[in-house]
Amino acid sequence: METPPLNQLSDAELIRAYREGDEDALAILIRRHIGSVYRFLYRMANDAQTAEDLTQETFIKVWKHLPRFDPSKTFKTWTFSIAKNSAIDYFRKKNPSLVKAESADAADPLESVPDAQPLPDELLERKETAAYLDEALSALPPRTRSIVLMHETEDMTFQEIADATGEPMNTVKSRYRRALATLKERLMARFTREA
Amino acid sequence: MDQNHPPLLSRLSEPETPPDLLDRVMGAIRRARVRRLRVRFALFVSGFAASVGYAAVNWPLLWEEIRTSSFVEFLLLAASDPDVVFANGKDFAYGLLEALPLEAMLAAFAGAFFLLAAVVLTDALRHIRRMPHINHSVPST
Repeated sequence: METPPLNQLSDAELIRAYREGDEDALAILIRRHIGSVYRFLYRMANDAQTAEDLTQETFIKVWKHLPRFDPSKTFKTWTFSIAKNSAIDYFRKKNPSLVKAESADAADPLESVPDAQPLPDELLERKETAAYLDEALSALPPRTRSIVLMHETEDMTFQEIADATGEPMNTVKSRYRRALATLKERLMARFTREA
Repeated sequence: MDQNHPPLLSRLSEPETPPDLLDRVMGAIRRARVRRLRVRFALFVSGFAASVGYAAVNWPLLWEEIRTSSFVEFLLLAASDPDVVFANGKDFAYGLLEALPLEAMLAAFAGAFFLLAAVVLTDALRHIRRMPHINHSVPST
């Protein structure tokens, strides 16, 4: 039976091939995920050079720990867990008080967060919205920002995010809702100031 | 996605992945691999050197241990009279075990192990260095 080409194999099959000595399998696996990891780290760090360095650091850690990776888990979730930790470590070195404050201020999963009102369409369509959004996102604490990015731009479910961050799912959902409410408040405040 | 939250972040700019980033990542992994092999090689060469050094310093004691143990006589007996040895297999085995010059053997095995490991790692390092560098860059459209 002909073996399918490597780029048609699933992540788990590529990992198995790599463990059996196929070096190309590792390159294909990394190629598959490097774009999404880079985008995530770019939006975390808001700087291209830092994002490139963190991406490199992430995949070196992936390579180092791949022999011990549990194949019952999702490779993408595991990789994003490493990427998120690399970003948090970067912020810890850059601004330790910011990371400490976020840890101390853990969201209470039982406290209900009211749904924020959606932004008016005409505001969403303005060309400044992307820039204001970047600014508002950068102001979020790192862990909260990572949750928002994983859900909104990487289409990860709350369960996958909980697995990646090591936090309970209710905490992840709570942080996410608060973050969206905060983003909208800041955007509205910015538009109001401009008006 | 939550129906109450329209895709707000879809308005975010989409950063473009640098086309040579994959190539740089694979290059970094290759360098990390070579570094790891070099560290292990250095450890095993040090282990081999320590074994040889230990044997050299303690050679008189080790030789005396081999000489006074009946281990060599047992081996010569097995070579010259295998029938006798097979007939008294159990006793021969116990005698051989008791006669083992343990310290000398441990020094020899340790040296052999470290030397073999260093040779294997040398081969692995040579293999990695000989691997052609594959350009993983994505051609820009």
